[in-house]
Amino acid sequence: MGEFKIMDGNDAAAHGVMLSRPDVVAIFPITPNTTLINGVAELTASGKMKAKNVTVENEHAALSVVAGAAAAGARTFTASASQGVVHMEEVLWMIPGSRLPLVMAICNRSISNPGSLMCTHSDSLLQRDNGWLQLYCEDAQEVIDTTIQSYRIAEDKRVLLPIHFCLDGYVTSACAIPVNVPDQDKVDEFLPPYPHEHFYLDPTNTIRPEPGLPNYRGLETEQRYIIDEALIGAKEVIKEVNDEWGEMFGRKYGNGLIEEYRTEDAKGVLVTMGSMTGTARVVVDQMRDEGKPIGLVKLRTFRPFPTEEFKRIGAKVDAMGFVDRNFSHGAASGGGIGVVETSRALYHLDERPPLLGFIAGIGGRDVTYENFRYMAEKVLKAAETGKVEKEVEWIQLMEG
Amino acid sequence: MSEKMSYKDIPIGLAVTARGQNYTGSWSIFRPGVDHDKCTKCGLCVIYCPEAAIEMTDSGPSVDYNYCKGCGICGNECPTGAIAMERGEA
Repeated sequence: MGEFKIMDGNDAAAHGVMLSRPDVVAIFPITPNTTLINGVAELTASGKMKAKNVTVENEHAALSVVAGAAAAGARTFTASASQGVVHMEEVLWMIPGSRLPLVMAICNRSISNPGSLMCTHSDSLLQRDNGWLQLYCEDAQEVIDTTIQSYRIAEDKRVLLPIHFCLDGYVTSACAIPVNVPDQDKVDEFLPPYPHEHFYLDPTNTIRPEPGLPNYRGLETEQRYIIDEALIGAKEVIKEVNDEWGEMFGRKYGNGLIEEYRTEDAKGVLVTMGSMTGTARVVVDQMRDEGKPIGLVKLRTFRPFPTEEFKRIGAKVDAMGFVDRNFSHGAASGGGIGVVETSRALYHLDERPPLLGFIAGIGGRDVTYENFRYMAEKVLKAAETGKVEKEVEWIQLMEG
Repeated sequence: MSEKMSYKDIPIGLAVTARGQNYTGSWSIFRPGVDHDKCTKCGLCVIYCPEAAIEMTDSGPSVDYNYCKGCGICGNECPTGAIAMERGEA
């Protein structure tokens, strides 16, 4: 039933990759996921991981190498963060169109300028429109589990799309906890070899995996619709994979898309992503002990966005608050990306609840118990009065 | 584009799946012409061609003008000057 080891998020990702038996890995190091690359390099150098580790000159090359390998039928892995993800941009857009089921870790970090080495979700959320799936992990245990699950989801014939699984830079990537490492034979049972039935690169049948060229020219509408359909269909696959993982390994992450915590009789709920969820859970417990009807929703799958789940919760609560660890300069109502998405999901409810936006934890600033208590109180007040005092609030903003 | 066409007809991954679907030869202005007397069949033109449009045959390099974009790299790299870039139909 797995062995417990002390691991941080980067270590967990590296071991999750090893257990998934990739054929080709290519990663260019960048803080805060440098130790992930160290881990993968050690495992390939020692022969514990049989993958070909291609050393590359930059992130653009790293993603290009694994995309090429995936097009030839390989199971692959790469990772990046911050400026590295932005440098990959051109290649990132190509991969969903070619339906290559890559798995890539993003150690969330701010993008300059102003930037930091610490966590903001902007680098991954910047990729929300290009057809990649996005799963956000709370701790190192979820990282190792999600790494392995990601291959199953991405390679499912109903999906065949790439996945970013995201871990908060430092807070998750460098925070060591006891992690239950799944047994290899059980992982092999859970994750069979990648069947690569629609592979392209074959020296005996030269073809060109480039969708924009003449025989499909003028059909981008249809091509984009196909990706959209597959991405939305992936929700069922994510749920199935989460359930199966739960049966085999005894751990589940909500329904795979969201994880509800004490929402049954909640009047107000907060929505969080990533590592801050742990702090929020403690605050929910404290406030519940005081008789305050607050609940919590961890948004695990940002793409595809779990619209149905948000509608169901939105219909039963009196107020909702989204805690965005990101910003979208100039967005509607000044909101972060999460609250803007949620607004759309709730819009057509007959009685939609007041929705508050909070921007917190930018640049790795700790989101404290006090901050969560403050936000929860605001949500409960909106639940009581039915009114929103401030549509979006920047938490811990120094105003002199 | 046919009226009856459905997005479901587009193959997965949208790749150009066979030769002959995607000719780019019409892009060229200059085309490589091979002087077989000067050619030593060293194969550098085959290796350097970014479009993989040159094949080495028993009689020397054969350029597939359906795909040659006329970049001239082969002519530039040819050590014996056997490839000359010529305007128009080669």
